[in-house]
Amino acid sequence: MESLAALAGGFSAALGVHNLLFCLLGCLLGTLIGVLPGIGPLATIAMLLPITFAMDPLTSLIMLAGIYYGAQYGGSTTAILLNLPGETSSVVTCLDGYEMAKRGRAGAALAIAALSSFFAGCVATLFIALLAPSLAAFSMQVRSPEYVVLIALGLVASVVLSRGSPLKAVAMALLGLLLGTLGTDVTSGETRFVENVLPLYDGLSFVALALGLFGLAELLSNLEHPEARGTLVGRISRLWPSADDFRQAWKAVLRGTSLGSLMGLLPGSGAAVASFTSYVVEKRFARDPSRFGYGAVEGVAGPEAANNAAAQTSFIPLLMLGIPGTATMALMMGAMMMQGIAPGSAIVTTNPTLFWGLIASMWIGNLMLLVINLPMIGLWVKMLSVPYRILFPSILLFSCIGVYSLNASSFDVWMLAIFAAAGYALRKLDCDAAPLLIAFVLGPLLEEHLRRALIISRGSPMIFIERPIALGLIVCVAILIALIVLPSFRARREEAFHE
Amino acid sequence: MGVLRSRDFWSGTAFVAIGLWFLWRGQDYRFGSASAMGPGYFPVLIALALALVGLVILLKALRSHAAAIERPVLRPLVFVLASIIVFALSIERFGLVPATIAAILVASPASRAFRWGETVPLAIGMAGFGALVFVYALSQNMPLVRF
Repeated sequence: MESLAALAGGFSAALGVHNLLFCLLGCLLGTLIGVLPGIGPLATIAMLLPITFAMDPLTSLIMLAGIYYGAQYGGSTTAILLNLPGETSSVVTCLDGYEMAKRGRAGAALAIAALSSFFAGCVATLFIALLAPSLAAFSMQVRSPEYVVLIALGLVASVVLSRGSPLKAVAMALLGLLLGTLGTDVTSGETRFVENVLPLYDGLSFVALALGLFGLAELLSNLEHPEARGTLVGRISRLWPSADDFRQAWKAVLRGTSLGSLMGLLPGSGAAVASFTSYVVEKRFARDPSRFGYGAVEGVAGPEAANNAAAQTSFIPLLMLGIPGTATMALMMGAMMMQGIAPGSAIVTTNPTLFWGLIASMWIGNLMLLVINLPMIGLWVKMLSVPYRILFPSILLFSCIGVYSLNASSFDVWMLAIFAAAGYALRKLDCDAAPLLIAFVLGPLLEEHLRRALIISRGSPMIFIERPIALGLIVCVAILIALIVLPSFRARREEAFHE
Repeated sequence: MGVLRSRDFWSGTAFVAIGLWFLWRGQDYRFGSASAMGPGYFPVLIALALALVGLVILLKALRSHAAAIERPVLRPLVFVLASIIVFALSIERFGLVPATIAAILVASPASRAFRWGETVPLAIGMAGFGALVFVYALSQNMPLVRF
């Protein structure tokens, strides 16, 4: 009950006019970029990061979070209407959502998607509120040895869930760890690998790295493959789903919500994986699986609930343990660190307004999104008629301005060009950049905790298996590694990324 | 043909090269021991691991036929990179408005579908929008125009 009181405190913080305004702004921006293919939440958050620097920490996190979950809503709109997933997490929504639209039931599909997401968002908020005290107690037990294993778990998970060859993902994670060591070593004060380039003494610019490897590499690949835009199916007539739809959907929503809430907690998974898993589960639970792929309501409701729930609970590993599970969460962590807030166990006790305010804002944001999306659907669809040849120079420009304004340094803009070229090359070589970015953020933490843990144990690696929590986590790591090696899981994983 | 166009061959080679470079430069820093890690300890071990994993990728690519690299299209790459560089060169010398116009004009030809009739108004509009948002609304520290 104590946490419900804290949640109430969070609501009063999030309901301030200023915070409400930025929550709305974040949700609007999120929906917009979710609708527009070719620009995702990752690039948008990276672009806006420098601007939020001037805001108060809670406000900036509220806006950035709004972009993140708002994009989940916007992404499903285009998935249903145009068979065009705006975001990776809405890829599975295309399967049955677009089929429903083709059958003249676009309105019902959109409403089911939005209502499932809203329901999942509410439950996830409550779930976080109820779970937070015990998680906080758990995270108090987490010391350096546990952190080392937890970070390793996050890294292994990012490898398991990356696209393409696991071996290359391992190499990308290692490369990210190495890039993280560039700059001044905190313990010895020695500058490492900077070759007398003065602006590198503070390390590589995180924003330039993220924008170059993800945002601009994506932009370049969009220009190379001018996408065939789907055509809008018919007019959206009836928005409200029938009673039949509700009867078919509610169980799927419940399953999707619980699945998503739990999967969001795991480091490395996040919204896209949760929605895919939910689709598979729904297909297996269905009395008549053959309907799937031909406009089954459950195929929209389950995954939509799952991706929104996971988008929300994926803040938990970040806020409680300081371990970002996905590349987007790594950016959020960067945002927090730039504000001088170290995410981790202490945040709930030392900065309850920030923690609970953010959680409360997510619920408010979900409510806003329901309003933004359903009645205003026509407006968002119109946005799609903005041609890419107008869009991409603007995206490019805002990336440059964003990177420049962070430190007023044109050196960082040069780095952006280098990382854009590197990101392009990595795509050509079929190397997924997500493990690199996660490892880049976690690298300095890993080194520091490894050093501390080994000082405590006088150099003995046994410390990692002598402590019960660390041992338990090591078992998780081992299971994950076994999953990569296991052929049946590998096949499933390939399938997941091909659909 | 063959291995010289393989994705895995080149990515493996790149990982080995980067790993070896960090391994070499890492020799300048004190290595220390497990119980007292020096600044060289962590990067050198990771660099070693990277070089080894890269080598495995490389060897596997030599043994079997890996997927070929998709042919790069130069046009977008050249114009986009040029646009970023133009922005980097002009933002401090000339200010936000000229840098914006230059960056948009240089970037636009990256798409085959571009038209001057659209690009010029876009550049002017973005310069105005950028000035309003970044300099006036967000009071970011950038000069608008500088001669």
